[in-house]
Amino acid sequence: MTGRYTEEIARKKQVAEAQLKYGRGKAVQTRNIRDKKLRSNLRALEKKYRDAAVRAKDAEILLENNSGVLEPETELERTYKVRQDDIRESVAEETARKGFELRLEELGPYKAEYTRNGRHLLLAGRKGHIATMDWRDGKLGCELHLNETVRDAKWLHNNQFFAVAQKKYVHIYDSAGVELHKLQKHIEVTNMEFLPYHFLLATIGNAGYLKYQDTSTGQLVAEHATKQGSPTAFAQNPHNAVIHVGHQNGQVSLWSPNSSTPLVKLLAHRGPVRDMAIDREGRYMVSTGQDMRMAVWDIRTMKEVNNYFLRQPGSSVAISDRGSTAVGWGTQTTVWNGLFNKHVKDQVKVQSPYMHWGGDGYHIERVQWCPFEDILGVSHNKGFASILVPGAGEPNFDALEANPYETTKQRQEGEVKSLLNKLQPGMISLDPNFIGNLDLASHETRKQEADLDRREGDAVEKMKNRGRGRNSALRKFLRKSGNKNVIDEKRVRVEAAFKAQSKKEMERVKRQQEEYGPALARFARKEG
Amino acid sequence: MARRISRPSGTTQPKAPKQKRTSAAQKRSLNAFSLAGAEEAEDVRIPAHRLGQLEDDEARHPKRRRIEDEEEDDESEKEQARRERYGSISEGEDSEGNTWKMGYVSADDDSEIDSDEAFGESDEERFADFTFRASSKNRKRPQKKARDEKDINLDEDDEQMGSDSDDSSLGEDAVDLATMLDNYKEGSDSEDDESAGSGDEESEGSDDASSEDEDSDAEEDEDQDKEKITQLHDLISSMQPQEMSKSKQSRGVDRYEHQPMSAFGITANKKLTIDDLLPTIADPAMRKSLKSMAKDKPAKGALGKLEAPLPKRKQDHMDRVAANEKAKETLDRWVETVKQNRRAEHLQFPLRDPNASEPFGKTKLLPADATTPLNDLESTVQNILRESGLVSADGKADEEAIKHFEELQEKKMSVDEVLAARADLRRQRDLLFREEIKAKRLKKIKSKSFRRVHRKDRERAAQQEKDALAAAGLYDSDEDRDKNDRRRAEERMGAKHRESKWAKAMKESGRSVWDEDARGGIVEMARRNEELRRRIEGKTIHDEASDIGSEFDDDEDDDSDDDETARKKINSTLSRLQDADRDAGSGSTLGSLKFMQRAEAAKKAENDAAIAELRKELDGDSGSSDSDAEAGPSAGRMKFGPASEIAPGVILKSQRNEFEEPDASDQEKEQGQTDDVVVTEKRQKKGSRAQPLRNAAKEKPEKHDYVELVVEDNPWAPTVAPGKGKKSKSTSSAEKMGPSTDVLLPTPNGSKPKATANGARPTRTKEAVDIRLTEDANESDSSDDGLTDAMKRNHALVQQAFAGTDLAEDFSKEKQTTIADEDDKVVDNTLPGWGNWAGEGVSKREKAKGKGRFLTKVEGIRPEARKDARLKNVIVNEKRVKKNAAYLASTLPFPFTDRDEYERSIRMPMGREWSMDKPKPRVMVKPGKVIAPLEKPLL
Repeated sequence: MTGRYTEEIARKKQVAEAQLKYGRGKAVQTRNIRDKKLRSNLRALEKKYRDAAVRAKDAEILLENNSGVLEPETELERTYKVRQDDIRESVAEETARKGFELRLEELGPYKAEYTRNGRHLLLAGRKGHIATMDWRDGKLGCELHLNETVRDAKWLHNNQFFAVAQKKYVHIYDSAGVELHKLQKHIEVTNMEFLPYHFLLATIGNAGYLKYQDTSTGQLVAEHATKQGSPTAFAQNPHNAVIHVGHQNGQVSLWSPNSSTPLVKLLAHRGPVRDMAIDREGRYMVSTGQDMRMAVWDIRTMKEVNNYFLRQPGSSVAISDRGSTAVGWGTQTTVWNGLFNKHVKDQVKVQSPYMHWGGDGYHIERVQWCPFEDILGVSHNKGFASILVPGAGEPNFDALEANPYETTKQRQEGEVKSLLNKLQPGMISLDPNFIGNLDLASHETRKQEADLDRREGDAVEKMKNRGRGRNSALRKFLRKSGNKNVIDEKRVRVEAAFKAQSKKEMERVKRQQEEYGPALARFARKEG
Repeated sequence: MARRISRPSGTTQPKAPKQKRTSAAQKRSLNAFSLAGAEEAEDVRIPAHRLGQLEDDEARHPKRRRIEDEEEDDESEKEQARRERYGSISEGEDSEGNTWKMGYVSADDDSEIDSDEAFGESDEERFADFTFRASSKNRKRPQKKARDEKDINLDEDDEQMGSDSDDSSLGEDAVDLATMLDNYKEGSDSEDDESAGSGDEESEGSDDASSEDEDSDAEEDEDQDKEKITQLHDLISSMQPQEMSKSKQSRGVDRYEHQPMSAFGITANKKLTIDDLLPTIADPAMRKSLKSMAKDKPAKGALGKLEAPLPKRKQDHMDRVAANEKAKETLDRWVETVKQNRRAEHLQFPLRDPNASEPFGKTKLLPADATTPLNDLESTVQNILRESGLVSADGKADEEAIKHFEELQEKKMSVDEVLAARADLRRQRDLLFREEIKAKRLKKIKSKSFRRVHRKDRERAAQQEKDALAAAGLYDSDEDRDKNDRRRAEERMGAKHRESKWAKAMKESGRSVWDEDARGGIVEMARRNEELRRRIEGKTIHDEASDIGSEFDDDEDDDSDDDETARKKINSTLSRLQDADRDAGSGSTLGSLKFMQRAEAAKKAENDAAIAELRKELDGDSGSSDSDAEAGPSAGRMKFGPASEIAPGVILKSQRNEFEEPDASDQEKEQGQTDDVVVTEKRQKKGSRAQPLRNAAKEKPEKHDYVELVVEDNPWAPTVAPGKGKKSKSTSSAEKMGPSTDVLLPTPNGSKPKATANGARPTRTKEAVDIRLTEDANESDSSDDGLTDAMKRNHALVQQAFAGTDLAEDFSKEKQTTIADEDDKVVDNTLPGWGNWAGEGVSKREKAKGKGRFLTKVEGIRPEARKDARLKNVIVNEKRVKKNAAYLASTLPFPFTDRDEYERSIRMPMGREWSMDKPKPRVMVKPGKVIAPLEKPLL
């Protein structure tokens, strides 16, 4: 009896734990539902949610890798004093080999970018040096010297394509370095972001025009004027694919391709925004500004959580999968742990960073975390450094999402699948779960929208009634519409209408002639 | 329905409705009786009241019809009530469930037909309230009614009928045809001969009484019996005058004259029962037994008649009701199953029976001993085995039984005898075992070395054959080539050649350094590679040559190249075997068991023969093989020295550069080299332009210090606190510079981090706390604490740099304008000149009067309802995003009553990746399966 009781308690506890971590929100009250069928259906659904959570919890045993962190043994020990050498000595050789440095002194400063599975690295030197590589094997994919300014470079959905923002246009290259496209509508682009689920390449240039290009169809999806001048920072929210643009006036504006005005504007800094990063779950944004501050924002409630001083303006920020925040400032890079924690209500202000690197006289251009690795890629004016940061990367990967060990076939299949599952640009919103929700707009609002959508009257019908004779609208259309070879529906209709009109006219004339008699027939006129 | 019964009564003839004439005529022509009746009827005067009655009846007909129709439709429980309401006229008449002949009367059985039988069902309806006076049916009725409690109120009707159905209308000598017929018919069966007619009522009443009495009678005393006798007398007396009168009225024929006289002179159709006899018996024992007998009998009516069957229609109805109930019951058993199947999310046909037994051991562990049968099948098999004598009754094998028996026998023998027998047994077993081992070894010899030795022979033979063929000009080189090509292709199909994925992966991962298997694989690959190459180069290498190669690694350690050693080895083993044999043979004194001896001898002979053969073959081979050895290994590559030991190592070494990562010591160098290889070309092309990745992997900067955290430069290093005044100054400056830090931080959570900070800096703790308490310092203090002078200077500079623009103010202005824009608006729709004068010369007052006459309010978003109403430094766009609206549901879908329910219901992801249960269609049918209907309910 007691055994059963305790068992029951254990089960409930398990369910509660699972709900806490994997739960799907509050259950609906089914008791008051009258419709029996609906009630039973909803109950079944709730049960499914519960089961799903419990199963997800159970499946945790499959996450066989766990991450470790550097921990000080005594109170006086500081983790940020640990050098890369020390780490390399103490970790496994295979891991130690992942920390390396590339000296590329002449064509810098460099910007580095990892693919989504962390396998490949793209290096773009300001002076036109582009290189891709499988960094683990040290195998070079392609290397280009473009002989013109390169402002940014981004991988597209996999390691087969990358886009480079060059002096004037954005170009797309394939893995062999062959130029595939020149995006002529993206002029003087300074920053780029690729939205992998929507296949959208978002760019912004010196003129401050935010443009979305669909890389699967090639269409320019949207083009918005930010009206804030040249942007200073650019980032995407990986959770909801909203683009954050940092401006000269310290504002950060949030954009989607669906609205010509920013969804949200925040004043994050007292000076130009230098860089920002959004965590994987889309809860927090960390931004740095020229005012030598680093601000942590909760971007769901739009509240600033914390604000830190930096010794120099942070030139680059990156947030790892497990929430470690790397900030490159001046010649140094610091990594912070616990700047934000979604499980606590009031965020704690962190006193000291987790790790530190730099001070070698290299000006940090960009920091980026390597997915699924405890590695931070730091690109600076003299090349690139890959440093080890224990506990930063997500130890378990979902091979259907991003597979660091993917084969060619898997990559190809993944590409096809992601294209099939491609999300439409219209689905981008601050709340990505809005799809299918009930439209709460009032009847009037909807009517207005419907009116706007209403098509104008039939052009051909209008033309029929406008004038006859030499300069009738139909005739004019036929004369002016240009290309005689293109025969579309409208043209066919217009021709038919014109023919009918002229026939009618002829008949009328004939009738008039008869009426007038042979003597006066000559006065029967065509125009009536 | 034109139907005519053979109605004998002349009186009834005129009653026949006119519309039935045609059929009547037809019938008449067939029926002599009816003809006669019809003729007689012409003479008979019809009593007026009868006609009236008839007409009345006919007038009432349709109504009755309708009633009956209704009755048919209605349910059984209402029947009683309805009968009461309508006086149950119809029911009274058709109380018998007799089988009627309907529609016509066939010519042959016409004459014998009973008038009762001739009365069809439909006629029953038609003539519902008719009384066929003389028919036996009517005569029977009263008794039945007496039984039938339900139909009791019919009697009134009967009474009425009886009153007007007196026979007075008949002539003196008129014979009621029905009576006549019935009498004629019923002459044989001595049953119901009670006359109906006017006296019905009385007799019935008495019957009722008597029957009721009889029921109780059996348990009552004798006085009651007496009473019964008196009743009987009464009955007889009451019947008598009627009979008399009737006979008087009719032609004086005694209706019962054909019946045998009873002892009591009762001619009624009653049978004498035991009850009747009871009072006459004096003997109490006899009485008792008789009483019990009477008790046993079903309580019959006083006259011992069977209960009349219900009318067919009613009977059918009741049957149907009963059947319906049964059917319902059967169907109800399916309800649960059907419900479950309807509710099921997924059905897979053919349906699996949930009660079907699972395979054993799927959920529960099975007992360890497999001797006892677990299920029916096993026990059946066991039984069969036992019956056929394969298994003993207790499941033990025969051998065990024998052993048991022997043990028993041993008990009878002396100890020495037993010991001797056992020793003998053991020896024999030992011998057998040795022979087996020998056989195994022989086989092994044959399988490996033996074959290798003999291969040469075969090879030579093949070569000779080929030579012969070549000499004859028959050598088919194409075929040979094809064969080789094919082999090559097959080889390439295998994983282990140089271009394979495996090899590449090996090369890339450098696994062979530490993985023994991988290294072995590489060696094997190299060997195969060599082989392939050889195959490509020369077609002189034949299958056998490759065989050598394939067996090369099997046992190249012992004797790969030298046949001599192999032969020696074989010889030695053979001799050893024989020696052992001899030893064993000398030692063995085979005892009592003959079969052991025989088996051993047979085995030995076999082995000996094998050895002899081997020897012979070896000897025969030796000469030629020697010459072969002198000729040297023509096929395959040359070998020098102890190649077999070193060969793999050499290969490994040679492969190493290609596939392995270098040692850790020269690793960096190697990397540099590889990088060089990759990039050189480019570099050359570009000339002095750049040295892109070349120096990328430069030697590890050992001398270089990675982290040069100078204590005073490190902002997070524990520093001695600066002076108080300075600090306060710095905070104030920070405030001035960044008002946001004060305002933006909405959470009063400073205490926690402060505490930790203080913990870290014990020297300063007191001071810091003091400051906080007194100055109510804000969040930024703690971070300011760590700032050095240089930093503060920097901050001051920054403040100066951004002093010109007040970004916060600009932002708040922008927000204000946005709020105002999106707020509710009042639009003046007044047209100038509408309702007043416009144009020149109109005074300003006039103009102003015209304004604001037609105002409309445009709904916007009130400032307090905005999402960013309480958020500082945030402007949230409140405009509706139309492109997103395309993905919203315009109305709440049907079954849902609430938005939350609906939105919750669509949150379940559908994809395969998101649910453990694969999404399936609701119904899945296994292809090629016949879906039989369910045999029984599943639940």
